[in-house]
Amino acid sequence: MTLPEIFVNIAINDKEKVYIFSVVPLYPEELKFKISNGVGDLVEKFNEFNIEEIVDVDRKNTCKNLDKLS
Amino acid sequence: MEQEDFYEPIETIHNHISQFFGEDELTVFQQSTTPEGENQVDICWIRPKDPDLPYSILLTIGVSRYYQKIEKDSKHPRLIELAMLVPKEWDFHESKWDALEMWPIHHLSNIGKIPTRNNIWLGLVTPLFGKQINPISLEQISILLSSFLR
Repeated sequence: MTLPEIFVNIAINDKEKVYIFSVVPLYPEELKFKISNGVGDLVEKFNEFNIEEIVDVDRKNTCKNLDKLS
Repeated sequence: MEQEDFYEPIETIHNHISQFFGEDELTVFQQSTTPEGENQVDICWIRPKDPDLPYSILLTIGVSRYYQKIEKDSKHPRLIELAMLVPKEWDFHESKWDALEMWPIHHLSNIGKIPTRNNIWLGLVTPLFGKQINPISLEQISILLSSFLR
């Protein structure tokens, strides 16, 4: 799930571009996980749980039980 | 706060969006008043007619009015706007500006003001600790900025 590359890059002149960033709400546990493990691992978690970029207020917390496991 | 004079985002970004979507797919929520010294960040709500797209897009217009204050040699983008994909059935209307369901509009606009308000820059994966940013999904309180997960 993604917006096309051509949409998220806006050339405003020969030199400069505006980049569109996606805002993704996280659970606190996911933020903690990202800080400890880096964003790559968090994205892997998102893929594992099939989390898409569309905001879902009831989506699964991909890092909910990690504290208990470690 | 002095405005950069190189570029006006409203026209440029509107032109950009118009390459992909028709006028009847767009609604712009404008800030009615902007306190002095604060950047104006409007939100364009894009509702694609394409039935294959299961989302609508909220896109900021105005964050890129100012350069982000990053180091000169940094590869991080100096000019950004923010987008949030929301379910297609979510409905936004100016008449219910203060209603709970308008939170994504206010939320995105507030995040967009962070670089100028707090004099920091937002990067590819800047996690923001939120206090009261999402009144509906209370548990999802933090925000990750990414250049669209792949």
